[in-house]
Amino acid sequence: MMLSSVIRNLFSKPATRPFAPAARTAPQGYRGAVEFEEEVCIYCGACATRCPANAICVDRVAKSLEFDPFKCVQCGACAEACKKGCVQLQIDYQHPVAVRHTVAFHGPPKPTVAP
Amino acid sequence: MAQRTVIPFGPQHPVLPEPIQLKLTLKDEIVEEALPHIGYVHRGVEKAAERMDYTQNVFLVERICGICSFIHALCYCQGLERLMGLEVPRRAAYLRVIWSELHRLQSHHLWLGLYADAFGFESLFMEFWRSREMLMDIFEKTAGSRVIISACCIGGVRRDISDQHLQETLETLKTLEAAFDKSSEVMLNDYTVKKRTVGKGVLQADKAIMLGAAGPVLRASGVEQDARQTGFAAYDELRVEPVVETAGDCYARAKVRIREVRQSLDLVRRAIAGLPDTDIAVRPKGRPNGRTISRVEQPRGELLYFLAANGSQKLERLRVRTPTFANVAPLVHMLPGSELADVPVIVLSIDPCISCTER
Amino acid sequence: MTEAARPPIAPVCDVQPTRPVSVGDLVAAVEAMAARRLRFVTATCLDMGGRFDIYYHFADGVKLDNLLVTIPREAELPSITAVYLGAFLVENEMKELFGINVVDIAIDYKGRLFMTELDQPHPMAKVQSGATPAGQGE
Repeated sequence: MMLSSVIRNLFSKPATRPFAPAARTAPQGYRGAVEFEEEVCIYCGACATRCPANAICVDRVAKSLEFDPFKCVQCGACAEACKKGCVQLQIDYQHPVAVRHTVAFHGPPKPTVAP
Repeated sequence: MAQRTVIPFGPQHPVLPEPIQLKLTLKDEIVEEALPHIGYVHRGVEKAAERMDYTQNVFLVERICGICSFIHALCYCQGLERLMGLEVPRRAAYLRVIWSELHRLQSHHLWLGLYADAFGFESLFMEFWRSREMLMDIFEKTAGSRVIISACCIGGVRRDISDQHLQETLETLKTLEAAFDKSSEVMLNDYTVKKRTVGKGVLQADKAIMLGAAGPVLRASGVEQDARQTGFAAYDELRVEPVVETAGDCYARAKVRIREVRQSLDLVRRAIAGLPDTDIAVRPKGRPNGRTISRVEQPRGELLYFLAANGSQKLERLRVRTPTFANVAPLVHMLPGSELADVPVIVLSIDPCISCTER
Repeated sequence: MTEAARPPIAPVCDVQPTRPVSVGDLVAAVEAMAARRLRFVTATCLDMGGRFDIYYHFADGVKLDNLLVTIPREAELPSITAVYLGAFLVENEMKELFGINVVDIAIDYKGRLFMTELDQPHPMAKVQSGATPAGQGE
């Protein structure tokens, strides 16, 4: 066992790959960073209610949404709750950044949208 | 005259990846008394569970332990389903078994690696962890994440596994088993490994029961108890015979886990073969009310959730009893009489998860 | 949300079998469990406001057997560690997180199992002695 393992490891390629040049893409269905589509959002607040990490704040009256990607745990509960398909999980993971920030947007008050 | 020395073992110890401190009272090289000190990773999950919505808690309880995240979620969902009177579709029950057993495989591979590392067998550690990567890739493909897979929800599972992924899983398991045959052979028959494990940290069957050991620690002492016998999820159809060894030492505990890996491989294959074609989830109706106990078998042993709800959005009480919580007392019993050099191996042999213990 | 409009469903209580015992009879009842060679699983403490409900779970093969002790707040609870040493962690936890006065624990951490002297005492208790609990979680 030992000898065969030594020989195998001597003559085989490394089990790991160099990260930056040969970064692997995650498979389909991977739960990565959360992205919002501003145009579709109706500010119903379903995502905010479901979020276990309290990463999403929705103001239904002022029609604004604020999302803290650093609280997010990528569970995908918001994407499941969203009826409009506004919240989507990307295949790519949440990239590290130097400065902490939040994602915020608000819609024009449309009379057709029910609160 | 022998002098008594007190050695603080941990919480930062090269061989121990877990934040537990053992105050070891030594007489020469022999441990006379061991006193465990925990409290380095207490997060107050039980308290947080009372403040969060019961649906959000599914994601919270998964984070109690990364290694068996799915089984925590399963135990929690199962308890809530009982309170809400939900019948889980059969396909969901089978998928739960598949993911649970894959988690058991993954956890046992992790443990076997760490255990090999505890007696200084680095290359065996690498072999086991190389195999474990295959399992992590299966999780990533089928559930969307490597560690916290979040596949369980109240009333079923969140996503289905496609036929193609099932086939790929079976293929991977074939490769995994071939690798496991070789590495487990070393763990069981190598002269040096046996020298370090046989007869160390013996726990008799009687003591195991009285001290409340759980899981492989209990079964390695010859007690035939496995929570999977209660037939939760689809275990009522996929019968499970508990893996029992009688020696009660570190070697027996490793052997139980090695045999459980084979059992899990068999279970995954049987579950995939018998996977029924139904829905994967039912919609929960109403709010939970009442008190119930949910028990499942984790890789480390029996996991017990006590749920108390009063018909509101929030649970009244969520009690989590993890297997390591039960295995600390047997550990304290095993250590006296052993040599200092064997302490890491004995501590590792219970598969400690202190994050689980403290919650 | 629509969730709030859902009517609560009938309570389910399937913590079975549960035998209520008085505080005085607890140790004797636990000794009877030990005589039957049952495995001590754990204890669960529920803070019901004025009283504590404490379940002791024992494994009889694959089945569970439970004892239920109800004590008023401030009352003393005898330790069962003389019979089942494995209960020392859970009793320390009850003492520390709920503030139950458990007496004669074999290995007593004196309220320092999880917490330090800087923490708010008894975070799991529903009725706080003194100030309101500090903001947690979130």
